Amino acid sequence: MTGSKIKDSAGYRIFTIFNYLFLTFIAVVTLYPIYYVVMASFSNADALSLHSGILIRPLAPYSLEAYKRVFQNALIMSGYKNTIIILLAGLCFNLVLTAVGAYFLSLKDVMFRNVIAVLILFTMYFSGGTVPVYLNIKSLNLMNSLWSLILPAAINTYNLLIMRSAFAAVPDSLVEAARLDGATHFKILKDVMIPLCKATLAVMVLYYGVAHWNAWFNASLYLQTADKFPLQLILRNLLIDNSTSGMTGVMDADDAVRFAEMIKYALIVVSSAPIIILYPFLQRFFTKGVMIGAVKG
Amino acid sequence: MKKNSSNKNNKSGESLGVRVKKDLKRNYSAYLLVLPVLVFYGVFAYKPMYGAIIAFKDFSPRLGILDSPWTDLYGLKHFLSFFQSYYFGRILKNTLVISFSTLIFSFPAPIILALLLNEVRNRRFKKAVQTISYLPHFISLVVVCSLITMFTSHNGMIVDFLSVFGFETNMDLLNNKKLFVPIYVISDIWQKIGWDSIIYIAALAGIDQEQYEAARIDGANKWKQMLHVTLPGIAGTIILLFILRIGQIMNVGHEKIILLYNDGILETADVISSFVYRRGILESNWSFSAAVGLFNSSINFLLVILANKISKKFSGTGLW
Amino acid sequence: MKRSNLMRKKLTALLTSAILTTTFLTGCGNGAQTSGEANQDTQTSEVSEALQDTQSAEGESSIGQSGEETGAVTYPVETQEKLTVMMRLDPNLTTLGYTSYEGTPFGRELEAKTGIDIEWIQPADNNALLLALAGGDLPDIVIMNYDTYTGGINQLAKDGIAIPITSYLESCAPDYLAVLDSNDDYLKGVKNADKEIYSFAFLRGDISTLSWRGVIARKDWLDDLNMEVPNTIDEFYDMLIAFRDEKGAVIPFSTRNDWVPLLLTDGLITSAFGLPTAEEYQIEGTYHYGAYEDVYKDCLAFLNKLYAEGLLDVNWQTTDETTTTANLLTGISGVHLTTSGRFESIMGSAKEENFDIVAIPSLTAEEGDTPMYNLISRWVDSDQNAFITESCENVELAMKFLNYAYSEEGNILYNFGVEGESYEMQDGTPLFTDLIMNNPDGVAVTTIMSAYIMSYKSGPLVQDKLYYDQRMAMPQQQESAVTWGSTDVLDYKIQTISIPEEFASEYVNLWSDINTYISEMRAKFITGEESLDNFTAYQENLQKMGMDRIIEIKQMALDEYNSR
Repeated sequence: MTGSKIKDSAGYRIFTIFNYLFLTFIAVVTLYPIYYVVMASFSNADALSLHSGILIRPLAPYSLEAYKRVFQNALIMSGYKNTIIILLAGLCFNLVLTAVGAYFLSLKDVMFRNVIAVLILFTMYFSGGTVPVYLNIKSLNLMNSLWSLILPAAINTYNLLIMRSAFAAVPDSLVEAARLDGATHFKILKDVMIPLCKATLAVMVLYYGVAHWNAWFNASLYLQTADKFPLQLILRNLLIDNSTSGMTGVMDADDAVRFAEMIKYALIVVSSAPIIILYPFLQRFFTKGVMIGAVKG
Repeated sequence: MKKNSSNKNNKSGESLGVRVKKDLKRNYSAYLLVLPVLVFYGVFAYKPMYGAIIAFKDFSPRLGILDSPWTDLYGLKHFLSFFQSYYFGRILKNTLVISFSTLIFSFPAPIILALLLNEVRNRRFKKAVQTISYLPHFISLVVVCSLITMFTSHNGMIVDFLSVFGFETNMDLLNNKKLFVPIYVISDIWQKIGWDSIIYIAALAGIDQEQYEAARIDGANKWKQMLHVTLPGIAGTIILLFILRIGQIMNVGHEKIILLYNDGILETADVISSFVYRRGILESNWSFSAAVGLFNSSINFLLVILANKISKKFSGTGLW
Repeated sequence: MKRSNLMRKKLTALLTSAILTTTFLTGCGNGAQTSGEANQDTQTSEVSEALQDTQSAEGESSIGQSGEETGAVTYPVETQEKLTVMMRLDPNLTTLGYTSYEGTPFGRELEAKTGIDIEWIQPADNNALLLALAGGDLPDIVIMNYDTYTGGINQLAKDGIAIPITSYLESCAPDYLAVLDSNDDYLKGVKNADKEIYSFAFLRGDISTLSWRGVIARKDWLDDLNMEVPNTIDEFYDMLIAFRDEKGAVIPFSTRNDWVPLLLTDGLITSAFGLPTAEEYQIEGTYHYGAYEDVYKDCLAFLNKLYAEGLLDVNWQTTDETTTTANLLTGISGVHLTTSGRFESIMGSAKEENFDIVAIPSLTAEEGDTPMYNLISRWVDSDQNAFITESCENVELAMKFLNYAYSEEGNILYNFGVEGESYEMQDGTPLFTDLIMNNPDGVAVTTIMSAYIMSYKSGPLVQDKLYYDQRMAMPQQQESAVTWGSTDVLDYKIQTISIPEEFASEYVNLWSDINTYISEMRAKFITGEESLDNFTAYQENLQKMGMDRIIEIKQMALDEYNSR
């Protein structure tokens, strides 16, 4: 299918060369910060505090100190566990509700669709504010439960609209065909929409997944026992306490301050590594040719 | 509220009640299906929504939101105090300048990246570049800003690079108020280009390959294919994201601004959110920041509705 | 623990609760804002911290008629009852694997010694604590920073979170009473405007613990050049010149971004020009604001001169702490502005043989003058004060529990921990053990301390001088406390006065913009972007913006404070 017999024009070949060059440049430029972060996380604390400028390799003597301190944290394992639970349960709600909502908004010929759409959009811009929201969660008996991180986050309107756009792009003919076969809305959603929009679904998994993975703010408000804290909240505590606080009269913990820099970097590596590892598995949904074949017929 | 679709269908001049009944009968399974979604928004978004009135009140903790008195001037005291601030013009201007600059430069960048990647035939290279490019998204803002500070310092990489062209200085670039916006925008692109391109890459994956075949057979070269197949193929996505982006015009977040600015460059760096932040340090006037927030949100919301209307008129697609 | 119905209605703490300062400082943007979250910032960090002018206590007479301990409390107390105590969780505890003080050596020892069973409720951070308070059930005791609660102690009292404890002091908290009576400033700092006492406060134990930030210089360089530690502004200038010309310091004076203004607002150079400080100060009851005064121009001129001659870091607004510390260590700079807590790491990281630092006092005009001003901590701090709530059914028990920290025995527990584990007694002095200071598993000092003591942060206790001495053991640190502490600052310093409620919003409206203007113009005067010829225009502009009104309002507040 991609094997075109027509040769590329000269112009296109030049373009290709520049393209590769440019993309390489992009890759280098965007790689460098992560590279720096990784190098810094393995560097020696004192050397790092004296160093300014580029890092090509960790500053000797190499040190796993930052990672040791991160993993020394006794609640790290429970942090990982909680985050994974929130992630998996959360994703279920996210995908189901977002798909349903998006499907509904993509329907034509439904009288109240526009009203509902505006009402939903409205919530993206207006909110009651932290206090009423907090009281609301409390009144729903969600305090100190992981559900307080799953249910209120079930739908992200931005994502919902993206999903809707994907569903709306599915050719009418297919939907019609299914309906003539007597399919219910649910069946259409399940058998026509979702299979054809796998790429967008993959993006949803990514967006929602990363959001769950990084979430800490609501956890700090609603969770009261530290063994329920998700990973990011635990890691954040590590960072707060190790940061320089020259403005307060409280004694700076010197050794903590020295390691603050390194720990900052190690934390980034520790918390983003899982996503980076999982991403390639999602990537295959973004390649061409996903839609073909399933459509015809 | 809008009832366009139903108006279009109303050929027989039926009354509203009859039309509603018909609609419910025909679509009840759809409404049933979407019910959980409505419950979600009702319970988690609308139930606490009353709190927004705090912007119009002189909030007193003792009395709570509902019982606090309304402010003078028909509840608009906080808004007026905001508009009458010595710096109002400046922060509004800076907010818009930064927003528009980001819109003009940072919005197209991921699209271009996605298109370029699309032309790469070597799968490994393509995957590698794509994966690497989104990594900066995961770096916390604090670290990103310290990297920015490092690169823009007088002995940092950017100045080194520019010295090749004869540019010399012993001042950190962030001391120069004229450079703040460019630094802000370029670092924004740098951090977001990869991650933001993912959605476009997904959209590109959804283009029917047969259209490319057809175009090739018709003799279209790569450039023409791009114009007539690729771009229209992702046009829906672009338009959607553009409209949503318009809805963020007033949202220049305070964190990055505060991490990068200093007293000397406030003229170009101070925006609405940083202004409110500093005000909040003095005194947590919840009502005031709620008023400013409401102001911002209202503008955003109106712009979005407007953009959506225009888009639907001219391109047929929109947010819904 | 009774349910408090009123709290449901009172969304009191919710004000301040929603706003965090520290979050942004610690990288809360950690990849969290995916495009999918773009607009959902209803609950993402809105940042500010409510620093309030609290009505700190002021009083003339001491509490308790006789001022002596009437009825000492014996520990352990005989009781079967429990107390619930709410306090934000120390993040260091989670590093060690604890989810609260329960189970820590500190917690165990505390319960054993006092004889009281404690249930610890520890929200993740201050924000969560404030929200929890507003949400309903109050614990018996709340330990918190009352500055973060809008309306301060007065509001806490109105909301039922703090009950007046004055009448219970003699019988149930005699040790605390004795401590308060021992120092006038303690009493003044703890009493509220209504003459009642509400809190068990965080008290600093000794004057040597109050001065912790100032200018330092390379001592070894001074010795090499046969120069004395500068006292006057001219000596300071000469020192900078000498450092540049004879020691090759490219940037003689550098300090972290935005700390250069401290030279003005901490009063470090202003005394030389006849100005106590660039911030607010008072002279015999009259309120002044330094940055509005005529002589402020001279202070700015001096800094501008340093800047123009390259003696001050040209990039003083942007250079970060790491770089400036490195500057000092590598000889690029010879003068630095920092806290005494950093001395250890500075000395520890120094590579040069004779590297040494010395604290420089606030500068004066003539030799022999006493400097007018310097930064000074409060004797009584608002952080982690303990309050007894109206939900507490056994106030006497709660009083006795909180009193323990101020007793001799309790003081040792809160400051040094558990004998044999975290400290050993040597000749009557508690000394930290290696478990703390040189932990065999390499755990950081403050991390391991969190499980044994409270005073390394703050709490309802007295921060003991002996504790402080061991943390600040270096001679340079101890000298710096003296150097920076030897000023007339108490003649000029304005304690925490509070703006009368009816003017509060007018004040903030005016002050917010004026403050920005002052900071911005200060930067421009120093760099020379704005010529000092325009100083009068600057003053006129301030007047137009309402500076006189600000002074008027503040004067009212000052008068009210002085009349207590």
